[in-house]
Amino acid sequence: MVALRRLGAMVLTLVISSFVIFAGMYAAPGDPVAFLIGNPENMTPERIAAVRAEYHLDQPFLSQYLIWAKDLLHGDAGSSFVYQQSVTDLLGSRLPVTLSLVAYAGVLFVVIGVLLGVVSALRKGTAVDALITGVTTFATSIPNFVVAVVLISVFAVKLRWFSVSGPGEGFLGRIHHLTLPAIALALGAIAVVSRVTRQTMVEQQSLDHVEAARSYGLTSRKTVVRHVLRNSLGPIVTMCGLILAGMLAGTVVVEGVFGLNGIGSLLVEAINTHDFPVVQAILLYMVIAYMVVTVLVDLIYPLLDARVSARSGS
Amino acid sequence: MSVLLEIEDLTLRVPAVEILRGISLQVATGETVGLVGESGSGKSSTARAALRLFPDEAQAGGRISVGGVDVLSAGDAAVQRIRAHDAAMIFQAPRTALNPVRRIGDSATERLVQVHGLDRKAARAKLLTLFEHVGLRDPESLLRKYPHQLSGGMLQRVVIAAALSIDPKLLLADEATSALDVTTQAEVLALLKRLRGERDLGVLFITHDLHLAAAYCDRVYVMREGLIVDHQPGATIFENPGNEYTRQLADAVPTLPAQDSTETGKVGSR
Amino acid sequence: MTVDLTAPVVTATSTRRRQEWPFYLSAAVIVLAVIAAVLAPLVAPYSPSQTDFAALWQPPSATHWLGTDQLGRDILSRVIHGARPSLLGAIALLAVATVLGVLIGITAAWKGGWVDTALSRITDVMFAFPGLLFVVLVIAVFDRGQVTSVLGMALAYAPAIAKFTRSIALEEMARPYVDAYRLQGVGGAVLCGKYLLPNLLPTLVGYLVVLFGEGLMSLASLNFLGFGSQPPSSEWGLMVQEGRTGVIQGIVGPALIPGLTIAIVVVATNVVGVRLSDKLAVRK
Repeated sequence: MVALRRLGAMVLTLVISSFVIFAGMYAAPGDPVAFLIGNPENMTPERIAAVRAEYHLDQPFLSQYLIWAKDLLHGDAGSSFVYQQSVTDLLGSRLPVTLSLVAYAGVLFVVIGVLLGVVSALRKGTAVDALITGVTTFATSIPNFVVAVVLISVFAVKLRWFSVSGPGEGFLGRIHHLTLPAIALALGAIAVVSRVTRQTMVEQQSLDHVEAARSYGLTSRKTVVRHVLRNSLGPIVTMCGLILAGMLAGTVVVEGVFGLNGIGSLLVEAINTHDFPVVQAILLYMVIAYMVVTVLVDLIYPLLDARVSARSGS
Repeated sequence: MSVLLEIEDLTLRVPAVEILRGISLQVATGETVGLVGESGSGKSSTARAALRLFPDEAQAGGRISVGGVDVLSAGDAAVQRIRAHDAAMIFQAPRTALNPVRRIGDSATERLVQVHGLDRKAARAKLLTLFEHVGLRDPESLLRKYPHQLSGGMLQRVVIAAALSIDPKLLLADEATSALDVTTQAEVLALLKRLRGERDLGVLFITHDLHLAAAYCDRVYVMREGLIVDHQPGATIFENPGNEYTRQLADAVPTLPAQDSTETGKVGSR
Repeated sequence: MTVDLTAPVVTATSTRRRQEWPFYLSAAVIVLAVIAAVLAPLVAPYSPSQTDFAALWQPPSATHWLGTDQLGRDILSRVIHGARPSLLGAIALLAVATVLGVLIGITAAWKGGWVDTALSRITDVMFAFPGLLFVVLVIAVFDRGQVTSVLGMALAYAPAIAKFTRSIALEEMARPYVDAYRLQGVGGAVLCGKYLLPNLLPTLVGYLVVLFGEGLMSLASLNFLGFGSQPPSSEWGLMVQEGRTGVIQGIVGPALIPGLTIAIVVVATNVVGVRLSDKLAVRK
């Protein structure tokens, strides 16, 4: 029942968002025919009519949307005005860079963020805690394009440890090349995750079952792992999921700065060249990626805290 | 009859606040000793001090001995041994004393598996016997349940069974029945009494309810503002209160509905 | 109960001193930024668009305190003038988003029932979209520029504000005075606007000040991507973008100075925002 309602909400969100996205592109100024034909000399009435028919531009708005939506369901997102190539192929060729960048950043912000949070929660009130809190507060206040520029100027230009742009060759090469972009992408997230971790752990530490565990002789390390950290996982996982979902849609800036040919830089390029099929497809990808991650988090949460499923089930 | 818990002139202060100002009390095997006082009087701190459970910044003075070991001066390992083997604490609210995100079986066997190093199977077998012993039905399925799926009375039985699983000599029951409704409270009290008889346990029974303590305990200590102000046999405390404060406490509870001590007593609970 | 009187007094003053200075420093930063924005032509040593092709990429010197950029323009003057579009953009973004969000939030909380359900569903769906989506849509339809980037971002921020407003409005409505006014026959709109909203404001303001920093960063990112203010504007995000060509050559000032300016202003508004929420929460 819950799953069904969840599925219904997902479908509804998809329908609405696809409609809004399509309507937005439809309302955008500029006649796509001009882009499609390109050379103004070829602008004969016959040619225009042929192009309009080929791209269903002669149909009314609603049927254009339905044709587009039907094609999408068959995995066909049309073809790019600029590249004269299938949009799905285009996205497919750009997706690996974006996904590996987000995966790399994800590993960084989860591991480092949780670690910092745990340390400052366990050392609450000490200088270490104050330092971590101070640094993370500052880190959330620097836009990631500024972080990116700082990283490039220090580690790529001055120290020459990394190259300035490009995704790199082979697995190790890619890791090497994606390191700076991943750090730029992850820095703010590290700060947020560490703060959430610290806060939930501090709340959890004062609960009765933690004192109960101590009262029967559980070592403090085991108490932290089995009670404090274990019970903080729900909020931590939720926050990490939300950030990850946002990242899948938010690599635009970082990809641009580091010259990575991912989805984000493709979006900027497509907006600049009025390549509407590509813009539509990427926006839809962003919505789906966001939705998939948030739904995954919703599915994982009850496994971490059984009380949740009891609440939503009743 | 040997002395299990002996507290002599215990003082406890966290920065700027004196919580305990010289507490002395004893609990011997097979006896139930009441510790009564309003909230903030220091009764919970006294019980926690027996297991050296106080904040890092707290300073304690005096002497606490559990089974002959000096708790305040002993090394961490010795204190750990007391917590693991000698004394078990039962908290006020069973619902919060059990980890809400873990299964009952997991929580109840934690001390046997993680502290005593028993293997999981043996721990579960021991727990199952104890569950039946404390009157829990269908113990097998209980192990797989979560705390939010059980009633308060069942949870307190689980907590008691888990406490007994290490065969402690001393039980520190901190308002162990205050959060339960009247019928369940009576059942749990009867259970504790039975277990004390069977196992020759020493019980330190902490409550804000003087009437309950008087009826239930062999001896009763009355606490106020970090001091013991009265010490009487439970049976005679009303006839012969040794202190004006005891008399006030005794009079403070309206006695009209004879059995309704929990309801009115709630005002004083934490 | 004996209470040691000296100890708590000492800790109280020491913690207070530790907590107060970031607040005053941050407030000073904000005041400074506002002064820069308002009095830009008076305080800036040069015009932000005055080029000097004999002095490209100059390091900081007595004539150009923070150096010059790729067109020989004075960076200090550009940063000072850039306070206008940067701060105004964020203020406009927040103003639009707040009006939208508060309207939706209060209406949902007040009307309840199906209105609440419908509005909450819509905000939930909008909330489920990455913020960038709205911006790209608005920019695609109305073309790039400062106004469209601000409007697009405002759409992205409105759902969060609506959610927040709804939750605090529901809390406030549980208070007896609301029922008292209702029983006197005060109409819904009047009650919301005249009595309910003022009581929500303190909580809302703290939240909005913190959101301001986020909004400033989001807008700067859009400008950095070239979707917002266009050259020759010296909006800070745009300045970072234009300064990037220098970074490859090892000249970091033109990109980093406006970048750090953004960071400092955002930190300052965050500190002040958190402080305001705490103070106002205490007063409540």
